[in-house]
Amino acid sequence: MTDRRFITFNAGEHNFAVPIEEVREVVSSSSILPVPGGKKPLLGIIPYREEGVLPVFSLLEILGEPEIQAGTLIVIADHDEAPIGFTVQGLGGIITASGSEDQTKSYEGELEGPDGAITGILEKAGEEYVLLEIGQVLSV
Amino acid sequence: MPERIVLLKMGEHTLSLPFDHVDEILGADRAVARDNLPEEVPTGDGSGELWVSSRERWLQVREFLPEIERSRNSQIIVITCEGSNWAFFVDQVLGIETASPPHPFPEAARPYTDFPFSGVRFLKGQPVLELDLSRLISLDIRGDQGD
Repeated sequence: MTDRRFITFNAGEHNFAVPIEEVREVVSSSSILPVPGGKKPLLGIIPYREEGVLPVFSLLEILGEPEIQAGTLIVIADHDEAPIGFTVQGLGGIITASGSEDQTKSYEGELEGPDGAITGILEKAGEEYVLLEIGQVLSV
Repeated sequence: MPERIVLLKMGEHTLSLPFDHVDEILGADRAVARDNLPEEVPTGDGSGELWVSSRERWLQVREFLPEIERSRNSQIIVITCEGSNWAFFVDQVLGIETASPPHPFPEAARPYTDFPFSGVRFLKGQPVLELDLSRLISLDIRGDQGD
């Protein structure tokens, strides 16, 4: 395994790691506009660059866990070549997983999600991170 | 190029309609119960209870968002779409303003709302969702087909 860099964040009781190349930005979630008739996990839309707006979803709700505390940050990634956002509680940082030092294993927790969304668990420096393929999180 | 829109309040939401499709804006007190309509008005087999006279036509008044109760500020908006006229209750008409041309409504969000949006405009820097009139009327089809 070659070295890979991840952006890490937390939501609920979970730490997540997403390959850094899959994340466009992480921004404040202060101005989400609710969509009339919107159903979970859709939270609303926010203004975004030349696309005008992007939809924002609750990451935890997508993964089958109720979101007790609204996320304060939005992780922006691509889905079908268009940007989408996911709320998370806090940004952990940027980590590098070394093929020679860090372990990955299959995920066996309670989170659910579309096939391919959760790709495993990364163990690094005593912490466990749920590895997400964030472009797959909204796949049906 | 900015375009004119009609800005509506529906509960906690602010929505827009393209101004060119708005025919009239009337007070909700203009609505008439079906039983009180003139006999010659063809109400058909529709189940609507309230109707309004707009430019010598009687139109059934429908709800934009059924879960929102009407208030004393409620109004009726008469729209023209695909050659027909339609009347809807709205919570309140906030104004007629100019806004940016619409950006597309995000495709990823469509499966998560039953409401028909055609796009998103920006008014004073804030996004405003625009209703897709063609899809709105197709959800509850029966308008006045013209004279």
